[in-house]
Amino acid sequence: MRELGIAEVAGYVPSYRLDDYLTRETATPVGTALAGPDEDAFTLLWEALRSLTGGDADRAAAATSAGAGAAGNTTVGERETAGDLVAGATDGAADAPPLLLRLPAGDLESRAVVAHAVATGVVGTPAAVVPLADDAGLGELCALAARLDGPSVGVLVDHARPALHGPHAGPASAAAAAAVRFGEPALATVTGAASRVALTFDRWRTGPSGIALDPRFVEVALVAAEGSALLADVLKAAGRTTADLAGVVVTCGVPLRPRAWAAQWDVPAVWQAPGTRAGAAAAAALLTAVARLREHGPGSSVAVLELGWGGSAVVLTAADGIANGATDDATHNGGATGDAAAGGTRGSRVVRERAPQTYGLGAAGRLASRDSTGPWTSPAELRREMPSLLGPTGGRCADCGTVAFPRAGVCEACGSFAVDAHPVSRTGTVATHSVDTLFDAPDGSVQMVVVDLDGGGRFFGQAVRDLPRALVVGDRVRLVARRLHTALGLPHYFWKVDLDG
Amino acid sequence: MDDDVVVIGAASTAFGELFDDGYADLVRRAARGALDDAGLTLADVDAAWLGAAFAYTYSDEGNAGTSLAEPLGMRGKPVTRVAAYCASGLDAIRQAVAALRGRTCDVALVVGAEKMRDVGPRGSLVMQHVDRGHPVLSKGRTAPGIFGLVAERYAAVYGDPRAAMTAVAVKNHAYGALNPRAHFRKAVSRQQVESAPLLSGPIGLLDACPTTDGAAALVLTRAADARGRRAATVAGIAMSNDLGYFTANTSVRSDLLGFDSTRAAARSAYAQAGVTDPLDQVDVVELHDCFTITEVVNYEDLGLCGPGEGRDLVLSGATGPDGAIRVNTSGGLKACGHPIGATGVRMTVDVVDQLWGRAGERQAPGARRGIAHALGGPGSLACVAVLTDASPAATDEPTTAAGTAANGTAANGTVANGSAVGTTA
Repeated sequence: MRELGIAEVAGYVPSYRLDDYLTRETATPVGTALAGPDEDAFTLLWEALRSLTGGDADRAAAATSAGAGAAGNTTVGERETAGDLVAGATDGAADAPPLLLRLPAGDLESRAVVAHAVATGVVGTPAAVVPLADDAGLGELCALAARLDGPSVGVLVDHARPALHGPHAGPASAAAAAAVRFGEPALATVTGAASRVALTFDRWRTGPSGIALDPRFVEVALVAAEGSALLADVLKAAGRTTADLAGVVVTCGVPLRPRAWAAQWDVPAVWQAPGTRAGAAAAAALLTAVARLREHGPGSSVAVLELGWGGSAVVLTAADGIANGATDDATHNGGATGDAAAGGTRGSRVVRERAPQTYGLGAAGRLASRDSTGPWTSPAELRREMPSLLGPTGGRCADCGTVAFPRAGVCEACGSFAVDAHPVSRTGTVATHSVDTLFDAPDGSVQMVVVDLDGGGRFFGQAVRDLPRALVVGDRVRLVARRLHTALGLPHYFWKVDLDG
Repeated sequence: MDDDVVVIGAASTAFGELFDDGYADLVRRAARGALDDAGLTLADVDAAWLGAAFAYTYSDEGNAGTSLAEPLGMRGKPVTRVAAYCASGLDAIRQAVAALRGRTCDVALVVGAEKMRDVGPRGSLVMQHVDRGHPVLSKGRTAPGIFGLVAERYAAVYGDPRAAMTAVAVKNHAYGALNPRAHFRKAVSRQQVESAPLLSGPIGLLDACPTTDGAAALVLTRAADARGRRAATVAGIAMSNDLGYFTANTSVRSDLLGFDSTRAAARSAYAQAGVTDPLDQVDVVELHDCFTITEVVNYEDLGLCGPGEGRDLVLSGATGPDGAIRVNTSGGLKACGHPIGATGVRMTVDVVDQLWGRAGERQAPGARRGIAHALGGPGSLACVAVLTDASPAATDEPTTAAGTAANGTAANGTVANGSAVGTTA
């Protein structure tokens, strides 16, 4: 495998956790990050992608700029500016690198997920979409990316909801998403990759809820045998020895004794991504590895072992740029806007730092029954309207300049029919709100919010579920993509309102 | 003027959970009541209008004029269904007035009816926002939520409306306790209102009107054809469409402190009726208090006070039993309930009862001019009507209508508004 450059890594770790009771009852590691009730594999992916260069922050700046312009006839494409990931055309022509995508098993098709990402502007139309199997990991992703001629973008999503009762009871698996821009080795280099296969099915690691394994068996049979062999393989592929490593990141579905394994493998440290007790956890492993590389500085190397029955591994070596202007998993919420406009390499970032919200027993029980087909919906209406609604694309009157969202065929201010498509900002100020206890949501009250968008237009919709406090009039907010509900078995996504900063 | 359109008969069923009555029973009872009140028969009627908003909440009855024609056996005559959300009833009246003014008919029957309780409140309106509607734009929206947005904005701009909202609830329930047709005939205390479970924002259970079964009816004709009869002139009636149903909350024109639809409809109706200072010129108002905050902002939108002064108006008692302008002496939607298509017609019946001096314990002395106002959808549209007493002489001691039992229930099944039913027909 040729060396593969990593220009940038962006991640997202949601802020939901199990409460103390559920943590004990399900033997879930304390602090396991879980997707909120309105988050899923797509929204996690969306949050990670929007932090990459040319993603949400660049787009927001461009949209604000477009909104401030006097001329009408702004097209959707015109607002999309810097960054090689950003949509520049509305005709569906590919304008972005291939997208390598690993989603967890669930109800989302890869192409639909990518379509939503393109529609919401966090990624351009990829030259190709390459779905990886849901048991693939960082090793498979890097091995594939290394064989492509040019830059590519990889996205790894770890996502599973807490499964608590009945035959599927089991520990919760961590949720996270990581987006990787492969190309210039500004952040790190993948110096080696390896994989091992085993003649069995790995359902305990990749299944929807995980099947608890005896930790002793995992350590003795899997980590000791498969892990040790895989580490040797990947070091050989990378042309490194254990002496070159700052440490090894391991995911194996059970807690390890880090010091014992560091001694066993003769490396300075062994780390596990937080909460990776069950399920595929490639995103969490990558984010942990990048954080460790940053700690150890340019030139340091970290091996990542993702173990099940067999497994895959990579060796990452930090580049000089890893220390440049980046945040790491000390995390910040909304920090993606910080240096985004500057473009270029920003290293790695993980968005979200927020007081954790918790799933209690009632909420978790309701979520467990979320797999119904839901109410009726109109697939025709979705097809017709969602590209504009997800843009979000409003209208701007060519005669008086009034901006409106959703786009209407007539200007509500002056009555002109000369209304052009116009990107609206995804930031704004709360005009009013109301916490609604009647709406039949699966997880309690819904705060509905009216937002006066920067640059014009008004948005009305739900607040995200993990707000640290209720929104009030005057709050600065931003719109984020979230799952609204499921109808006819189809996930419905729309913008929700989140605190900005 | 001879071309003025006048109400000559008005009646309403009792409102409530009418599990023993079907839609046909309700519209038949209301229509017969109004015809009896006018001293006419169905044979005298040339055309009819049916206000019905959400027919699909009850077996699709109300979907067309057939739902009125069939129960009445009204064959061979035009019967038109009118749907305009919560203003369906008033808009049905408006269209009847237009037809009479245009001389396409001579005697018009207007019925408003809705059957909502058979499916229960969560099955009717709330669930429609979950199960039906736009795939994403309406998800999370409920009726209390729409008006909760107004209450929160009102609080941010003008100050906390809680005390005023409570005053509206207490006032309207007190009136409702005296109204034999009201769904809720029970007074509530300030403490009860303010300790009720919250629905959306500051709106609690006792800030909300119920969904209800009921029907009301009017008989209208031109003034020239009503000489010598007790009559109430429709001096002004107007409707204004303003906002979309799913996009009402995204309009950049909305100040979120009230509704332009009401303001525009009021301007037009007042201009027709020569009303320039409603607080001074109007005696009684039946307005759309679907939630208590709605009554507060309606005061402002209807010009009873200035922007931001609605709180003070209700807290001053000006709209109460001893006030200068009595608002919702029926108990309003809050206590009467809100069978959507019936509400606008019911409001007009109550205004007419006041003008004809038959509102019983709730009678506003000397009432000569009244307003009915209905707000539809999330402020999407509104209707306002101004009515004036056109009877040959105001009746100080109304006589009891033939067939009215001591308990106020007439032989035709409608319920008289007060302790006596006046008729000079």
